[in-house]
Amino acid sequence: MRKGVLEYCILSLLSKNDAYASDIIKALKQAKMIVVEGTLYPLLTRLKNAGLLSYRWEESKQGPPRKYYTITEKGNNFLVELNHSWQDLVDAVNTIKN
Amino acid sequence: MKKTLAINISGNIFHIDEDAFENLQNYLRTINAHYGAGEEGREIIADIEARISEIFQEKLSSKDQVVNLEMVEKVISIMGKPEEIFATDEEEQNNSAQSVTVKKKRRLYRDPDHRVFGGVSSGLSAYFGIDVVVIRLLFVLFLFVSAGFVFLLYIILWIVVPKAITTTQKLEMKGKKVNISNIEETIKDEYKEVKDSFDKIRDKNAPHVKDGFDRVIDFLGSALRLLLKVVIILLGIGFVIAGFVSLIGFIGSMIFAHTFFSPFADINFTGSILPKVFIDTTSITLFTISTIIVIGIPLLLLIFAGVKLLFRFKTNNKIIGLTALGVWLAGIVLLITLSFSQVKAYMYGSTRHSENYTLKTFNNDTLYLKSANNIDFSYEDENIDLDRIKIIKQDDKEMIIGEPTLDIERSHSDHFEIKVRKKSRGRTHEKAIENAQNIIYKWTQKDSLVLFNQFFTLPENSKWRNQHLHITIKVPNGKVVYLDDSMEKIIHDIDNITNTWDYDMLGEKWIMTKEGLSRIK
Repeated sequence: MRKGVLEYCILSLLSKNDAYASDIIKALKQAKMIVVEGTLYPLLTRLKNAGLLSYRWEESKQGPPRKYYTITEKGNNFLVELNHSWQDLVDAVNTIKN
Repeated sequence: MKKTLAINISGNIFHIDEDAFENLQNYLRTINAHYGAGEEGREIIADIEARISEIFQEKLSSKDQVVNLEMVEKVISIMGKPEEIFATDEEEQNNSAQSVTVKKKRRLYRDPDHRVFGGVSSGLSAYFGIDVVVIRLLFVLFLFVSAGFVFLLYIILWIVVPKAITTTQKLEMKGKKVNISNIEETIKDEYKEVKDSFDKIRDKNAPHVKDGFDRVIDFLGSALRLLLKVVIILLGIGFVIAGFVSLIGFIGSMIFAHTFFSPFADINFTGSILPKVFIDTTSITLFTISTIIVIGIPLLLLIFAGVKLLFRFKTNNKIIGLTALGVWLAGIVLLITLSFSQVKAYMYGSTRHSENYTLKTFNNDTLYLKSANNIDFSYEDENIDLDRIKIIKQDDKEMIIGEPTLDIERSHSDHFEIKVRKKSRGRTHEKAIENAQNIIYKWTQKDSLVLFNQFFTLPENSKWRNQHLHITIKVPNGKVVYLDDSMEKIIHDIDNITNTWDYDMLGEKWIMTKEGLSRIK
């Protein structure tokens, strides 16, 4: 459940802007979605392998080039689906709560 | 003062304290071990390392500052302890595993949930999709038929097959069926792939040369893979069969060679008595054990390799290999040590023990020499023949008997004399003399007739130490000896002035002249 939400968050983030892994971490940490950073990397790799996102190497001012993640066409489509199911879920919970 | 190391993490160089380095290395190793060496695993680790490198760079005020233990611990707390990372990950794996169960290849595991002993049978039952009762019945049945080899097989499987602990492993245990039709299927798939790429090559429409070349490479690649898979399967089957057959044959022969395994002891087998004659009993036991180790371990490894080629399962090859190597080397050392100690038993050689006899006088100038067969054995009986020594079996006991050699020389006195020389080898000089003295030999004189035993014998449980017995008959000048036909087996290279062959001297009278023995016509 939480993991599914985490994927949803990552895709949502990337749909707004392309980002470095560190940016994604920062955002997720701010939203208190993750506690430890190590969790993220396996997720990113699997999402990439599933074709939902891709990355390119970007030069950085200091040190070696870093991965710059971007969402793919497939990822965007999947995100639309996720948005729907998320909305359904929220509506369902709200109906019960009210 | 602390020692520091220079390390390269994801392209950045850091100076790091030794203790901090150890800590970091352990951390990365644990993660590495979890994600494995696959494409995905490597990528995940590279990402994590890159992030660690970034964090270090943020924390260090200058390039020359040293990474200390505190900083490494900080990084680990940011990245998360291995358990924390894996916990979220495991959850995800289970989700995806369920959806792709059908596709997952089946692996051989031991099933701890349905076990009686080690869970081998239940694991096999899951692997082959056969009811566990059938597997257990087969095990028990073959246990009696195969005289314990199935027991050995069970132990081997218990050791080498890993236990299914995590949910993923338990799912893998019951994954996609692996059976003959399945193997056939994979081969068919591979074949289809080969055929497809072959068809592509033949496709006349292939536009670019480079494309065609690529396809040839593709085709060769998949053809090679198919061939390799078939070879591996055949090799696996071959290894297992060859390993088992030679193991059974080898252990069987060891049992025959050693009456220690009493049930087989009375099977008649010529080679079986050989070691007993040379080597004392404790050494035989040790020899048997070390030979079993030295030859058996490579055979076990052969079986293991075969099983691994046939069924996919994870094992700690390193530990198994090192253990096997260790035990094997120990076997070799034992064998060499034993061999040396046995060779030592033959070290002191050619020690003689002589006895001189003067024959009683008799009213005749002619001494008649005859030989009598003192051991009741026929050459058709099983026996082993080594340099005038025979090892025979009589009344279920092994006996060492030897043929003496007899020569005729001139006597320096006026009497017929007989000299008996006994020779043997031994661990020490004293032992060699003792072995020589232990040789039992009898001859008798009755007036002018001397009767020689055809064989000398050794006391019970004596070992072969190259014993020899040499008889010299001393004939005074002018006296005559008669060689009876029965002397055929004993006489050995008797000098005479006509250079007559030993066997031609039989049945004749020979006189000692100044020149030497000469025939009386």
